[in-house]
Amino acid sequence: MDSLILHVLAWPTLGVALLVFGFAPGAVLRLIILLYQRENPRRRELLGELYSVPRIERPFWVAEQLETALFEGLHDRMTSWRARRAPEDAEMASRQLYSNRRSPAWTWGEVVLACDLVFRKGWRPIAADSPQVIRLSEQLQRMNIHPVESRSPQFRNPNAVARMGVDIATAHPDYLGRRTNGSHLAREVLSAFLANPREMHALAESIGGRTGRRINWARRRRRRLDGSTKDYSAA
Amino acid sequence: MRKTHALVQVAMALMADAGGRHWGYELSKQSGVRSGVMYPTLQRMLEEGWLSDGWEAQVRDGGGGRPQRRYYELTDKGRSALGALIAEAHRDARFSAVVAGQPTRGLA
Repeated sequence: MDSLILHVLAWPTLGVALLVFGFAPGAVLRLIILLYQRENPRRRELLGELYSVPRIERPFWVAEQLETALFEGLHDRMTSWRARRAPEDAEMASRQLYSNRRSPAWTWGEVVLACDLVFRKGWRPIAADSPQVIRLSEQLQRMNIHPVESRSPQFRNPNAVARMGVDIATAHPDYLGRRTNGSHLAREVLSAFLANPREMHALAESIGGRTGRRINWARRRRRRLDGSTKDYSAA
Repeated sequence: MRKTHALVQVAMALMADAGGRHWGYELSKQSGVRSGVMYPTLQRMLEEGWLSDGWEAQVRDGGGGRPQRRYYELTDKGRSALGALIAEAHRDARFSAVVAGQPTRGLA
């Protein structure tokens, strides 16, 4: 019995008791509450509560808080991290999708229209902001040669049309400047234009005319419908 | 809110002093619900609007500069909701043991 008392009163035992029931619970709890998000009031609450808990119970009480903090605090942290990441991930995925998706290759008819524009401009490159380029861009986007789902956001925009015009113009035999790496199709259509300018221009008019006629038909139909609605409501 | 034994026990401890302030650790002792379950239960009650919370005034004399404690008070909505919950628990055989045992275990 004496040896037990002596053992209990020994310095190492006293040190361990002080550590476990004095210093450690507070220190460990301060680490545990870090699992909760900064704005979570549980952080402050648990620290305040610790001093209401009798010293003898504190180590067990702190251990219980670790369990809750792991399942609740860490879960909240993960949820908020995922919520913060979600828009970034979606944006990155869509950026990757668009960057991977290229506009479908130009078809013969489309290149004929672009070539006809350069032909009418005296085989000179045309700026992307010129009205003719903008009009042709709109026309190409309206044509249903390529399904909408296969198109990139830049599909046949004025820059793309102007770029095709530059490829055609710099491939012309009379062009003295630096040539661009145009497509084989652009050179082929240019050769056809140089060989039969009138026929190719007529072909371009016919392609453009078909599109134009479809657009005009749609406009006329819309006008007719609007008119009939007005007439009906007036009656 | 899902009716659990812990919820009924905490509800009974809160309704034992429906107008008073309740402190986390003491509530845990009164209800017999361990703190790892009780704090999340209190949080859900706060979200339901059954409880309101606040922080005690800074204790200087004799407090040793200890951190402030958070307290909980029942709202009117909470009193009626918990009253109904306890009444239901009385009728429900699953909660007969909880309802029969006094919630004041430990500190009372």
